[in-house]
Amino acid sequence: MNTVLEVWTYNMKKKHRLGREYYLAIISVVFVLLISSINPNFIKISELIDLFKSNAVYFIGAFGVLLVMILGGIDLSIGSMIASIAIIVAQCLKMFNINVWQAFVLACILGVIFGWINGILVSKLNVSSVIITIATMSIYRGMVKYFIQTRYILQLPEGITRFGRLTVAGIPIQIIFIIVIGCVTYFILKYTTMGRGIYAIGGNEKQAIRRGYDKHKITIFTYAYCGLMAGISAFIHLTLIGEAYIEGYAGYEITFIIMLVLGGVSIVGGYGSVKGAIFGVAFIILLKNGFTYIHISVFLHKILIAIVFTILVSYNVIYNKKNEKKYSVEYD
Amino acid sequence: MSKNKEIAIQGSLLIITIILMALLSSEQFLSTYNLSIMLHQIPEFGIIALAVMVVMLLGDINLSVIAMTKLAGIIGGLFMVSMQLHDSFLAIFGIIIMIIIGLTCGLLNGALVSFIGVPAIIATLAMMLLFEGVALYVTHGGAVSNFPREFLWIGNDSIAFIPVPLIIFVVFGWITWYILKKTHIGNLIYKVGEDKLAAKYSGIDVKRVIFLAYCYAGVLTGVAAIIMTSRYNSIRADYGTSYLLKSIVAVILGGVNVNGGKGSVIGVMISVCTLSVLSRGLDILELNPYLIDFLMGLILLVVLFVNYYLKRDKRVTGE
Repeated sequence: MNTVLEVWTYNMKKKHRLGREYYLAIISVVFVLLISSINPNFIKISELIDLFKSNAVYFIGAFGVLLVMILGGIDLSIGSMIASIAIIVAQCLKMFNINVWQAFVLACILGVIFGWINGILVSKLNVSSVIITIATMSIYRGMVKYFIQTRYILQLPEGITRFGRLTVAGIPIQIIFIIVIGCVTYFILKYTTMGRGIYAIGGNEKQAIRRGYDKHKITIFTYAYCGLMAGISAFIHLTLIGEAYIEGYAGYEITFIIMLVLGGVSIVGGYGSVKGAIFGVAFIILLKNGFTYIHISVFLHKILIAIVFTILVSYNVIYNKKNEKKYSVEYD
Repeated sequence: MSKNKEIAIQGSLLIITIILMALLSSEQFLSTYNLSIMLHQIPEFGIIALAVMVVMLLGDINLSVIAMTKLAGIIGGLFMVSMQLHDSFLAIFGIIIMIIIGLTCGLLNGALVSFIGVPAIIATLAMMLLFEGVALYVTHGGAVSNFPREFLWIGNDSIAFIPVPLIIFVVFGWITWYILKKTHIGNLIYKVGEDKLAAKYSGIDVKRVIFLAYCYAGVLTGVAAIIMTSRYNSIRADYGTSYLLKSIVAVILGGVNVNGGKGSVIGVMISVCTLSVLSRGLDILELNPYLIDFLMGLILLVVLFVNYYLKRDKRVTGE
């Protein structure tokens, strides 16, 4: 009898612990219901699809930052990568008349190069990734600004925006991109040695290296993947907007971190999942959009998001501390 | 590497930069006008760098310093603009309010990091968002300006040819140096920065040390806010965004270890001067302003590379 009870409580506890991503989904649903009770337009399916479509950049970028954060790093250069790649690709679209697929490949290649540079630096210099990516953040943007010598690139060829309006079985192409890339990221994290290595290094670096994971290789792969996602985001941005702006996406790196931390990704590495990332991104998007629907002043958005974020993170930290006290090697 | 040697390297780097800039931009760089501009420019940036440094000694990074400076400046500024009092009282109250707001922001950061245990990057990031949000909400994106003349004196005047901000910078540099080197709590900051776990096991109240360090950084941002608002005679929610990268570059160039536990105030103060001379020189050369950001990033990477190779050599020789 006693053992049955023990097993049951153990299972309940385990279930509760697995719910790290799901509590956000519940909050999101409550929030959506709350908003839609005030303004019923909010919950229309077409509106929601449109919302996710126009925020596809967030989703795809978040998949890249997800990997970096599981590894225990932070990529502050992602916004700058997206903006600079968008500018370069836009310039090539205009000057060399490349077609949409060539633009896509170019964006991917540029992304991988930028990310690879980040990866090499982080892995080689053995310095906190925050500092490295703060440096590369200004290097990428500054470099592109200097060489292109313009702030906007407007009026891109028709082809790219026409591609952006494509739908597959009623679903916009951007959402197809999100789904495909989400699946690929999930597969990499779950079923490849590389993905398991990212979790291992993020969780316990020394142990992982002893087990034979190549830290150098995994770090470079992770940052290059993040760069690739930045490249694809830049491409998606062009298909959505049809113009590029060098100051665009400044400050997005912070939004990405907020989304992912809310989605249950551990800031010290080793924990995080694709569905968590999706929940986190969707939550912030719904929050931002919901505020507009119920006519909250734009100037209040930042404060409200900051407060929600602080409360959720603090709750998470306190909750984890209670649960994992015996494993903790922290200073408290 | 001994400490004197490090400071000697810092100093020679500064002199090399000055000579280089003087050669490149002819007489213009060494004119008294330019020198006075530079001496007015250094302090606000230098005090922000000191705030970044105090936290980096713990091995943390404080992303919210700029937002704290802006918020302190905006609230103090709004007070001065909206109140009906005698000008000199307004100036005094403005100064006090800015320091109090800076301290409060530091307190929030410190409480989140030390008592709740949120990782420093996340905590300061959340607070950055909050402070920026409040600054934006209070001003609705506009500028706050037209402060009393007594207040403007701080940022723009000089005592016996020495600009007032420079005096404030030196004073606060000295205070920071004194706290870090001569007091018990400063000693503890270095120890906690070196190894939190070891510090905890040797009986140090780690949480308190971290909390106090963040509070002190908050006070410094309040002081930076005073200088910044009075120098420009206006403050806006989007001022000074380029200072974050610059102050981190200055702190790391000044020999502070990114992972905490090592670094000196004098090194940071010298490297602040070096960077100011560099960016002023580039301004005079009329280089593309975009290139300055690019160069700052590049300098940071170069410094990291140099540090890496120096450290590696040390490991090989077993020093």
